[in-house]
Amino acid sequence: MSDKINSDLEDFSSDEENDQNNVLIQTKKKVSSKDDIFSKKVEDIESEDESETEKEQGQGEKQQPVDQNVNKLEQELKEQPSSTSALDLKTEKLRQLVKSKAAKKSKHKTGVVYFSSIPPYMKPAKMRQILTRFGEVDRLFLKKEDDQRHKQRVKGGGNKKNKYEEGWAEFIRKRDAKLCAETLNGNIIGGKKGTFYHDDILNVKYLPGFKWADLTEQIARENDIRQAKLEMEISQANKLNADFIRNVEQSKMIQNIKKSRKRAGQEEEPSDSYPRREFKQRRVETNRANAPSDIKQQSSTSQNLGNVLTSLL
Amino acid sequence: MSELSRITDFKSLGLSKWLTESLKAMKITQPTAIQRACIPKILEGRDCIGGAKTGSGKTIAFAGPMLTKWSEDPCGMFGVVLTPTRELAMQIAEQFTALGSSMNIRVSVVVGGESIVQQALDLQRKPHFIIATPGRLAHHIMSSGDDTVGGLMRTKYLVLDEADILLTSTFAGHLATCIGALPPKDKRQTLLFTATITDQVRSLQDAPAQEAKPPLFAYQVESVDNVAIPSTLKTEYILVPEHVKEAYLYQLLTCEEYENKTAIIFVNRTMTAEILRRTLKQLEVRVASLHSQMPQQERTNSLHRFRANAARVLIATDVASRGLDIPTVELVVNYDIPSDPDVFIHRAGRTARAGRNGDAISFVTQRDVSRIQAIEDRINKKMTETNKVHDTAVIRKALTKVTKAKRESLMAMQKENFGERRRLQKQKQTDGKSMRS
Repeated sequence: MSDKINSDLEDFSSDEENDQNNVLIQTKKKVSSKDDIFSKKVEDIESEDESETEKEQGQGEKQQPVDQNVNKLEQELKEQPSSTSALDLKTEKLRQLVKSKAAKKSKHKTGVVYFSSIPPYMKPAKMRQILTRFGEVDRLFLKKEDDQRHKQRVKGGGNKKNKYEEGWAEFIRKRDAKLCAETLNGNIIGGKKGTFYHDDILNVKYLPGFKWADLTEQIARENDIRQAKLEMEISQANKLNADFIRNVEQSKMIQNIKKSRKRAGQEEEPSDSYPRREFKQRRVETNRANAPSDIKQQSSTSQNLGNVLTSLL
Repeated sequence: MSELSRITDFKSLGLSKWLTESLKAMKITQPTAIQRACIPKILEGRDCIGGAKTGSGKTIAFAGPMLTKWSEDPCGMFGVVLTPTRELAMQIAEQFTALGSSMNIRVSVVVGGESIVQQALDLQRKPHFIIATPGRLAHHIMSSGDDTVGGLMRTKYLVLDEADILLTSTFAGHLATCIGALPPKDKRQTLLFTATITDQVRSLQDAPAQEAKPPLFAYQVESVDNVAIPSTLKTEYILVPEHVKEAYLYQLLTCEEYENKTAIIFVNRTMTAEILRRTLKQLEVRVASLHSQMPQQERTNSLHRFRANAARVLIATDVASRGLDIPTVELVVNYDIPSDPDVFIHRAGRTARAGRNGDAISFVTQRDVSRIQAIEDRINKKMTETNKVHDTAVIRKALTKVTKAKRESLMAMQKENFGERRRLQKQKQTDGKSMRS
């Protein structure tokens, strides 16, 4: 069950991973579900990408609460695995939600194309606009250039815009992807003469047998491993904590026994007066001249330091 | 001595009129003991070793006479001040600038972590005073031309602040380079200030007098060791097992008494500092941190945030243990116990400054008992066990969530490869050494 959910939600978990150093652009419906993260980007897209249909927007709005619900439910599932009756109900709900989401997905097989270079300073929104000539584009991801290089360029008085190095785009239909790669590869972008990107040449390759999930797979796997490790470590730490709590309670008990004995007028047992266990102590050292000799550091005046001292005063 | 103690204004100590006025503008009218003793002697042209606790006003004790002499003949590169930490250098530079603002003073700060080019340009403009850390100044001396650092040959004063730290093998190499670029010892005045008398300082004190110069003046070198911690400082301890320290710390910082107080937490390692910062941040305590594995920009920013009270808690390694003057600090927590009892005194000295109240609370684990005993011997005072944190409260309120936050922050750090840069640097150094040999 949980495996299935994970595989269905894979792209969600991994997307978050990507956005730390890169910009990830998805279709409207997915972007809108994360608009707190991408708020700025979304504005960008919305201002430029007006060709998106009304229908899709409506879908996006519907999609958003559903996605949030799924995530929330999933979290809740993790948090309270003990309450079984509530769990059953929730898993059922979750399954339905997931199913409904899957049903919304297109029946066509998707196709992914790769760009080995992006025309200088072209934004993802513009790229999407160009690609939609060939068919509906689902996810699009352009890799930003190195931060260091960007800084260097800006410092040297270069262009302040973001430059992208390479990218992937997912077409909802495979044949659109193939058509796009065939038409655009090695050709100028074209369109209306005199537009900014008219003469830029694109390098497009259709990636046969490649799915979007392959891109995010590794990150998702690493995330899963990390999560599992974290849970294990927390449970380990909790064991230690339980030990500590037990010890505290025990010490309280002993204190109470002692107190009541004292009240009863009995003499304290001599066995409690010495420590029960010896711990190796951390070392103490100082370089103060007047310090007791047992903690004083051996003053190893190196050659360099000697030179400094003689040349100082 | 009695004659000295009667002097109650800076004018009669021999400082210039403009300087006393700018001191008055900063609401400083009464010279402290060290200022009364040192200023006339330094004005006479004598070398000086001053034993002074931090917060006793030693910056003015050396800035005053230097500025007075400088205003008689303002020339480029008049004095060099060396300090062990970057933050201290900046603090001293601020004071110099504030004091000399009416005289168009040019002070340049030459510390690591900032633009080398900018600093070189600053040095070319021949600043009157250079406040520096030894490493970066040595770098400039080694790599820049005569137009940048040639002026150092004409400096009149060399000041070593916190001399006991500077005169260790850590700084020796860089210090040798710096001193090599300055005029020889009989052509400049050398002022040393230290809170701890080490063997090195003592050997300097016993150095044979030079013929061309008046004899060395030593202030309180013997007696500075005996100065105990201020009486307004309360020293307490908490006995705590190693692995639940974080929970106790969180409980301490959120307990009724310290809920809204400014605190500095001292740790021994940058790693611990980073873990604590992330953990406490997750638990919604306003924290800032200060340690050597942060970029300088962030270091400066955190300190500013802490000064401006945007952060309530500062987590710091020993880079912050000396000299930093933040009057509002009311609590110092020794999360790790330092190996050197004198470091404890420096750390505790961040609070209870200038007659204010302050608490110093130490976390004592099973392996720190002898360290605590050494500290108690050194400060000549027994610590008391604190009653602000109870085991049950920690278990009930803090333990689970702190454990979780800590693990999560550890994981995040692992993911971000914290400490990777330092490890690589170390490897580079060892590789370089083995190549050479």
